[in-house]
Amino acid sequence: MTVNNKLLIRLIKNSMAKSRHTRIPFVIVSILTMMTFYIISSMAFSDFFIKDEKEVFYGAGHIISILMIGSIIIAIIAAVIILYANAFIMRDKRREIGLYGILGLTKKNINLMLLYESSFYLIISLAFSIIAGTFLNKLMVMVLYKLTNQQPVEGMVYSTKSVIMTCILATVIYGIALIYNICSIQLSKPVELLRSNKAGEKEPKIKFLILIIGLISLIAGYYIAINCENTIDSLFFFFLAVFLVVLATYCLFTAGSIAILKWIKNNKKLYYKTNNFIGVGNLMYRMKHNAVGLASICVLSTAVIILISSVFSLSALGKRSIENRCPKDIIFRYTTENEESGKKFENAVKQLKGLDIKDIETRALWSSEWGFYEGDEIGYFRYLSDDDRYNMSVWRNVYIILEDSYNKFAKEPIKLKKDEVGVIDSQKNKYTHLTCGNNTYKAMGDLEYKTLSLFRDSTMDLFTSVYIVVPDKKTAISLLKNDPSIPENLKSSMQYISSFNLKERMSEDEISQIKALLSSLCDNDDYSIIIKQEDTQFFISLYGGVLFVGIFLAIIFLMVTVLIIYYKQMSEGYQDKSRYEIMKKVGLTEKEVKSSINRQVMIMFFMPIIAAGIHTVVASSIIRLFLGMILYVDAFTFNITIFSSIAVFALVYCLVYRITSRQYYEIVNR
Amino acid sequence: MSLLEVNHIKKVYKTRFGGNEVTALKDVHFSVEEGEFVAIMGESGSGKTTLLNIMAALDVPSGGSVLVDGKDFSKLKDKERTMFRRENLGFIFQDFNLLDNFSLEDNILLPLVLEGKNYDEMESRMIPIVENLEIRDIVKKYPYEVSGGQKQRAAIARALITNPRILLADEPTGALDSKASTNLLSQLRKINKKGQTILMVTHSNVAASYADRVMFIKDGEVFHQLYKGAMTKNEMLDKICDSVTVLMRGGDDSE
Repeated sequence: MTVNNKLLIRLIKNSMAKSRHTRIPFVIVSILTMMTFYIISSMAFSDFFIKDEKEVFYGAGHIISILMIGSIIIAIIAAVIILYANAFIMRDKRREIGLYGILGLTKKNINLMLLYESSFYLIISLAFSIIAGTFLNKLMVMVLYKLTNQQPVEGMVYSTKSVIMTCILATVIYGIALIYNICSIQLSKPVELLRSNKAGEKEPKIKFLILIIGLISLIAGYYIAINCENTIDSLFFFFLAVFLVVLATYCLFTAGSIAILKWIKNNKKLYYKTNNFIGVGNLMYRMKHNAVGLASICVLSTAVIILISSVFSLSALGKRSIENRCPKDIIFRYTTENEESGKKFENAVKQLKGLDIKDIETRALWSSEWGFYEGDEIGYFRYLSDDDRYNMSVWRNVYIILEDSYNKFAKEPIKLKKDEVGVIDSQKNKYTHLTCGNNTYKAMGDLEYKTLSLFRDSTMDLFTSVYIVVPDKKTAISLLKNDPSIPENLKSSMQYISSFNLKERMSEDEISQIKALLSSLCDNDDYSIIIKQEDTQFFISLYGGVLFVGIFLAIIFLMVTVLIIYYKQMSEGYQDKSRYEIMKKVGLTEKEVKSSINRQVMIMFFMPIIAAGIHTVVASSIIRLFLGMILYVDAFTFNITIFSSIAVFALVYCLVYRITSRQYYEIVNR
Repeated sequence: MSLLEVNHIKKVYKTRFGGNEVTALKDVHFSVEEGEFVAIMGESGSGKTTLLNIMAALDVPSGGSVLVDGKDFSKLKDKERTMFRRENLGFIFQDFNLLDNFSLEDNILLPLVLEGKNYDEMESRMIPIVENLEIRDIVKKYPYEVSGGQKQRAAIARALITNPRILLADEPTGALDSKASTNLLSQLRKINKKGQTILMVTHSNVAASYADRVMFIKDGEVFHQLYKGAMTKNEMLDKICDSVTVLMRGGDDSE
């Protein structure tokens, strides 16, 4: 006998209506993730950033890369969350499908039903996300243009390529979900499906291996995060630390929580207290089922907090960071033996026509790379051997500046004694003496760091720098040359940094005119020209892109967190309902039941957010260093953004929890 | 004065929109003496579960009163009623109502934990009870690890641990096979012999034959009573069967 499609469709309609409180959030999340993917990918393909393989504005190429990375991340999140929600709904639906089986639907009918239902959700999600996305696309481009200081432009944003990509992505995810659903039914008999909610279950055991892995990876992750000292290390270690801490979170939420509860349970005095007794028993099973969900909430919350604080740091510190990079409008760095080159530069620049030039100046220094090895006392350096070129904690950039030229720019001039040098490093360490090779000097640290840092291109701030002020050229040369391990051919030529300001913005032509002039002044290839106007646009594009994608990701992460909380509350509600009914029968007053529920709900509520807070605080220094790649981050502002992000997130989290708790209480008290 | 007095209890349910009224109990009136083992019989829908719920202080009668030791608890407030129930009544249910995430021991101790007793006292109270019920060896096990009869005996232990004045049993053998049922009923009998008052709702004739007195409820009223007196269990069973037949015939006027 064949069951006709009409009946199947009616059954689907009924079941959808009945379980709308699980399906609607699923569809909403599905639509929003798909829409975000569609918007971001179609922006990446639009000709508002790259047109005919050329950047529409300076730095637009980077925006495209950021959008691409963003859309990949969103695709991954979309897959994970849709599959998660699908699995949740499926668990809910097993009984219903068991009933269909008993009523006489064949497996084929049921598979067909699952197919219809999945297709229905797929079509709805795609239709909504593409229609709404197409309208929002232009708005989003305008937001991004605003963030990157571009003039708004006319035209629609539509990309067939990204429509196709979105369709493929959604179809693949839904296809996997459908296969999962069909497999999970194929494996069980109708009676088992009917009974699936009722089987008694074993008390969870402590998984010592997982507990130990969790503890070790937590300690290791935290240790790395806290002890990371510079940006280059942070590049290597950030992802390792993230991996370890995520692993630890999952391990400790699953095994650690149960270990603690077991410990309480084995302590008879503690366990047989009215408040603990019910709580411990229930929490143990709750943790068994929900530990993974809670750990996910914790990880996602941490991600949201970190994203928010990074995004705010970008917008708060971006401008200052650019100022820091480029103290002057044009900075020209070159290396030459010719000591008159400063004059030559000034004369040449003054010839530039049509530009209002001011604040011309030239600074000179010698630079070298030294090594500071662990175990050596402060002030003792060796020349950096080639083997240590990859060891960032040893590497020190050394800048040697003549006393005269320091005094020219310093607010308070200094007077060095014979055999005395001034030393300061970017970690603000105090030096009493300085040794390199065979030479030892007395040292004084009373120098103006800011004045010194202007002597060079500060983009190399990733490394620790050491500034040495010497009384004369002879001292400088002996510092540079007097180590036997120094290669013979090491150049001792000076680096010059010449810079000037302009009163007005330059046109593209003027920029290339300046570039041509400056490069003609050099007798070798070792030079660089930094033009603040270009740099600013570059960084504004970079920050704008990161800010834009960061906000999107934060919203998506937040939404996913909310969905997991919602589903968790619902599944707990159903699990706890019968438990509380029995307790009421055995003699718990309504008030006792309520306070017991509250206690447990609060523990489940606070655990992930507290863990997320601790993770964030521990991670703050490594994140700051990590951001140091593209941003000058000062600790004070960054810490403020971290703490305010935690506060804001906690507030939103509370709100969400309150709303979803209502669903829980409704189920328990029904 | 009787231990339990049920005075002209009436219970009327209103449907949700206030339309139809359904009378579950018309006028139930009886009393139970200390140390008695009383069975209440009736078909489904006869109102016996409603009656049990009212006696258990889980439900409030629309009229009449229930006195335990001369005290009317149907007038008490919600919380006080729960406390009263906790202190004076013990329950066993058809589906055991054991918490499956607690071991049998913890299930049995639950009422005492709620009272805030310390562990040593709880244990000293539990041991004689579980020994009596022959489940001492399995108290560390979990409900899903033991048989239905053992679960029900654990439920009895939980009901008895508070030393209740009355043990209320709602179809205690309903989910058990005949062997486990017989075993359980003799356990109840044994407990009763030691002085425990038991009130059992059942529609099993065999179960009722273990009682000192059987009350038949029909259409919300006590329809008939049987006293065991000096009868043997089998004679009692015959009597019960006769009464049930009469009860069923009386309801069917179609002939």
